[in-house]
Amino acid sequence: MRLYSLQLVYKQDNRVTPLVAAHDLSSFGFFERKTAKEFMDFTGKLIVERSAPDSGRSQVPEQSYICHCFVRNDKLAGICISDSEYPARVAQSLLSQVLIDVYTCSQAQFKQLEAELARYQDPKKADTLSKVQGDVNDTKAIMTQTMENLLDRGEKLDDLVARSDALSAQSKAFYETAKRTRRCCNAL
Amino acid sequence: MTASRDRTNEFQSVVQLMRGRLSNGAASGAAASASEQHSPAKARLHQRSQFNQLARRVGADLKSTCAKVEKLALLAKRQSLFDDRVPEIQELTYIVRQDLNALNQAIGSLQEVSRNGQSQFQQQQQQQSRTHSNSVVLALQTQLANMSDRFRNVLETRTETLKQNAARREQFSATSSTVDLLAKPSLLAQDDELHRTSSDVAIDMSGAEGNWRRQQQALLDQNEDYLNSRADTMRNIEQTMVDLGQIFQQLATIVREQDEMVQRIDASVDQTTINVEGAHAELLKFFKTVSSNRRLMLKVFGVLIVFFVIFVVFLS
Repeated sequence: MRLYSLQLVYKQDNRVTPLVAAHDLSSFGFFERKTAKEFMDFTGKLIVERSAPDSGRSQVPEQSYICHCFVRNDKLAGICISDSEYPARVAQSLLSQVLIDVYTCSQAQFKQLEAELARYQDPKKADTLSKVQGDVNDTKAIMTQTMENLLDRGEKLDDLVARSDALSAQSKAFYETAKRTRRCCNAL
Repeated sequence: MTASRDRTNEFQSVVQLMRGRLSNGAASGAAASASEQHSPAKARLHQRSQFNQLARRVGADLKSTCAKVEKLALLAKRQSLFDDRVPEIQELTYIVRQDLNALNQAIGSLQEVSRNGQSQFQQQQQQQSRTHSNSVVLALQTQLANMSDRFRNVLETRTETLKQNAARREQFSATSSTVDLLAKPSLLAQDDELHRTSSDVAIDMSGAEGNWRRQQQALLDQNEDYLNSRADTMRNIEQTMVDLGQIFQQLATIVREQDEMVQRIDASVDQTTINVEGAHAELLKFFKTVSSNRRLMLKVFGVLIVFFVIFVVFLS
């Protein structure tokens, strides 16, 4: 489950100007990296060119990659290229997040984009919804385990109750015998 | 019933054909006029037999398609929650639609044939055969219309069943399947349109409009998919939290029950301690009395023996 690139472009009447882009090309061989980067940029630009200005979110599957595209109403668009396993929802939320952050800072944006890309490589940790879901699921598993432990404890407690009852009965018998022994064998 | 009538006509036409052929073969030389006289008749017969054959074929196809529609109705009715025969139903629907198309065209060609056959000849006998072929075509068309009506009803029941299934599934698992229903209404709308604008023969199965609608739906779907998936995740999380709450409550109840058991154990063990302590004390006392009694006994015995000795000495 990987993200390969993240690009922001400005779409203006069928012309697309790329603004910032971040790539993670570590899964390609050294010599393929340059071509892969150019190819991804080109694909992203092409897809944004071809999509209508108000098409919003869309996913375009390629050979084994999926290109998520988000065209906003104010002519800004974001493209995220990932492999086919990456959940579409997380990719789209990443695009929304990044496009919102565009307005906050301009110069440091490139580094920020790289950071976001690196962060979102693991969708379970980065996306809040996934994180919450994972946490809640873990908690549920732990609670089920606790319940099982509790039921074991209940069984053991049952056992203990029985045994201590038996013990107290036997000690009482012991006391009675001792008393009788003292009473009756006194004369000897 | 159409088929049986056709067969009688065909038999007669075949007989006349054979007779014509025999007479043709017998008088080959001077048969110019005879053959000319017979050729329009032969042509007419040929046309009649063609018409009858076509009509018979159309009737047979109609019957088989009717059977398929019945089977489809049965399948659509017994859709249970888990026994989904969706691919079968879709296949059958597709086949039935193809058949309806073919029947449409066949009836159209039948009408063409009957009209052509009658346009050439203007004799009085043609009147009856014209009315006959007209009634044949009409009967076939009415049967076709009935069957397409039934087909449409079947599709409607299937949508109903799907909706019910979705509602029941939602009740049990609290997830939504809105995407499923989006496909079916457009299919039904297509059917509705083509049945509304149809005369009996010209049922126009233009799929172009349906395609455009499907594309629009797909675009809307993609835009809504993101929101739908977010909503689904939220619902899942909510459900898990509710489950967790219940688990916690059960935990508290079980712990309270076990608390009572623990107290019982505590009481029993305390009782045991007391008993054992008491027994121990008794035994100690016993031991003391046992050990101290001997002195007393000795003294008592000693006095008794002295008394015995005095008694014996005094008496004897």
